[in-house]
Amino acid sequence: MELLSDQGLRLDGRRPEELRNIRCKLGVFSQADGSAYLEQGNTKVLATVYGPHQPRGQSRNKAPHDQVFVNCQYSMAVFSTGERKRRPRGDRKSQEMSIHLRQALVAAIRTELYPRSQLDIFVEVLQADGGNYCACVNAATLALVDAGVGMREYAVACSASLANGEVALVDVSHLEESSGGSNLTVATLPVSGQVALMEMSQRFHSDHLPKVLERAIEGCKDIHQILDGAVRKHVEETGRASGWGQVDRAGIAL
Amino acid sequence: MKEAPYSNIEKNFLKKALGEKKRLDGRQFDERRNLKINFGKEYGCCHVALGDTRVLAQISSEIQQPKSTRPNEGHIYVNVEFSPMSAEHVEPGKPSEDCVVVNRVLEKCLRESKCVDLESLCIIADEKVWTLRVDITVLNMEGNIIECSSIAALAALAHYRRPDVTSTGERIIVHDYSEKEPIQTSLHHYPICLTYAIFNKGKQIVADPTLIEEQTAEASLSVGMNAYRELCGLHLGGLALSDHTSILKVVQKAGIAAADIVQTIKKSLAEDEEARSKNEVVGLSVCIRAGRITTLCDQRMKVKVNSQSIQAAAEKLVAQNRVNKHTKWDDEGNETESGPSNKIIVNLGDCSAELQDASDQEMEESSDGEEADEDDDEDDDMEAEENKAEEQEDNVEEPKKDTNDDEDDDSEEEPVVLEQPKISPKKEFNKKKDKKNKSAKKTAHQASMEAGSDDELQVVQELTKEEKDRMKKVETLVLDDSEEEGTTTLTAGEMEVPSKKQISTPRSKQQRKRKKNQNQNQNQNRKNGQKPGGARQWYAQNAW
Repeated sequence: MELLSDQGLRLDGRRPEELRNIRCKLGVFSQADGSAYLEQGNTKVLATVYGPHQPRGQSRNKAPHDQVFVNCQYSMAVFSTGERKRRPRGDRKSQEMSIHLRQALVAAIRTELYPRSQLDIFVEVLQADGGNYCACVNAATLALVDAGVGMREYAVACSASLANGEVALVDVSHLEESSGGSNLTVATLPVSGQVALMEMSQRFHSDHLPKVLERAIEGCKDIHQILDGAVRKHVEETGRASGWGQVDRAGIAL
Repeated sequence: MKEAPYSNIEKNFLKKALGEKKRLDGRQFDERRNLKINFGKEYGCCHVALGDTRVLAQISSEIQQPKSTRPNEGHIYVNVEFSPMSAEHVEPGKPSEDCVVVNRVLEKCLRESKCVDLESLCIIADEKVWTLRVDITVLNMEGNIIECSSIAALAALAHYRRPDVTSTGERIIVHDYSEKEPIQTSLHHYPICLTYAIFNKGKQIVADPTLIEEQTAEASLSVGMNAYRELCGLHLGGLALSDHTSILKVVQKAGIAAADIVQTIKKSLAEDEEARSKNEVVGLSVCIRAGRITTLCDQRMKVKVNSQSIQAAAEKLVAQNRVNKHTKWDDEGNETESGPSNKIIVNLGDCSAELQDASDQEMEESSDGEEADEDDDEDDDMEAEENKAEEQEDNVEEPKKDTNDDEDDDSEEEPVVLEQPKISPKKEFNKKKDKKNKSAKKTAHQASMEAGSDDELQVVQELTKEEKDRMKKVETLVLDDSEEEGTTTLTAGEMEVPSKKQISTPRSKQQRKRKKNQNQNQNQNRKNGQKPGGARQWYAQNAW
């Protein structure tokens, strides 16, 4: 299957540098300290954040004395894929996902602000359609913002692939993943341009790496803008409800 | 048990050294550790040593039903296990996070890069396919497990042969190796995961990191790469951030290194093939006998030193006529030169310490105005043993004279442990006699001795005056039979009554001097905590 048609369109009609539609909402749960829902095309993810709180259970031993212990849990709903399948949280892929989630988020969180405490981040994939990891990082970032956890900047992830051996594609969908495209996932802090995590599967020539990596980082920057817009809008809405941000003509808060 | 972290002092030292373009073990930034690949007797068994990191890979296969989505493809399954013997903090049971990461990286490297021709593993489409299982056991963790395991896995896959199969309509016959020539697994390409540690925001990038480098590094990058410079998986770990330009730099470097390693693998495969075709005995037991895979037997310190500079220093000391160290080892841990004729001061694996000690020794000797001129070589054990026996006799009178004065001093002293790797039955006998001697019992020295213990007497410590005096008065010998397995703990008094039956030969001052040195060394070694490498080295020398 050709990943890119002669007209330069992808299987789902996007252009190579085009992201899927992103919709997101902050503060979807009342119990959690922070929560977010994010759709990236057909990939749908829920993220919740609890904490920072006192370390509990096993993590009491793991928690370092000078920074917060970040506990991430990735899980996929049984109905998230075409094939209904029970996925115990202990399986290797989700374990790997949890480790990678933590790696990317710890890079963004100001861990030194919360010594001797624990931060729980739970992410659930409701519908999987490629780019699960990216959607999870982005949703978790929004949930962290909602929880008011101190962060250096947004942690944003994006994937990229290579079509026809030369054109880099951004934000890979499940169809593109399974029809043989290699997949490079990058988690970045987009403002400073630093890479927190990079992961690649399948195979392409190393000469193409700069191109693909560049495309993925650009994708991250685009996603960052969208997320930032959503956060601003959310703050505005919640702030307005409480009368926050309104000033009279003399500049005094009402 | 938690993994013991390195101290900030050690880490800062390492970082500072890297800033000066130096690594702790003397390698260049791009230089990898010594790679040794050995194959087992069975097909698909491979032991890889990358420096001191050891990994064992074993391939096995069975016939299974294929997945309905891919009816004409076999499977490959990768399983990595950290053996509890590999490091202190590894516990049996649920795989640790590190283990999961290594496992996934290897899976990506081997399976998702499609290096194995899975279609060739099909026997009957939709019914029977071969499943290859790659079991990797990490035996010793000394950094860079990913690279070592990926080399082991790949070499084992290339080495493995599965039994031939014929299908006769309904039945499938799996032929024994003796019936039909087994079939090699066909590999499309040879991907290897190369690991780099990134320091100082990408300013220093180090290939093949050791344990301390891994723990100190800000990030580590594993690059799956084959000889054609195709990327087959990539993993950036660590909690620090890195610039993406440094990543690209690493990937460029990895291409060359990968081709190099693939060459090494192919070479060792060809050697093994040749040995098998000549009907030579192959397998890990042969390697063990040849001393090729015993851990740490070859080097006591992991520092690579410029042997020429040491040689020069040695020559200088020889010129000053103050030298009495003569043992030299090659990389395999075999002794290459020894004896008084050699004018080499140090064990080359252990330069700085040895030089220092040599100077200590000089001081001691010059103060004694005597020169002890013999070698402390293990091979001379028997000879030494005789000498010691003579020494015993020699010292008979002395303790007797001094026992009373001596007792006070000695009883205050801490128990001193002396170790000798070999013993003749005669000696054992002597010792038993000694035990009976009541006067000796008061100043009992406790001695515990492990079989094959430290026999290295190269480190000669400066004698304190007290100790010297004591050594003259007291000759304590604790002897151990190295042929006995297990540990013997003996309590022995001062050696006073050696058997008169023993042959007495004229003893020289030299011998006595040497004896003292040896004892002193052993005391010192024990007090300072034994050198871990010593016992192993001795064992490597003498066991086979």
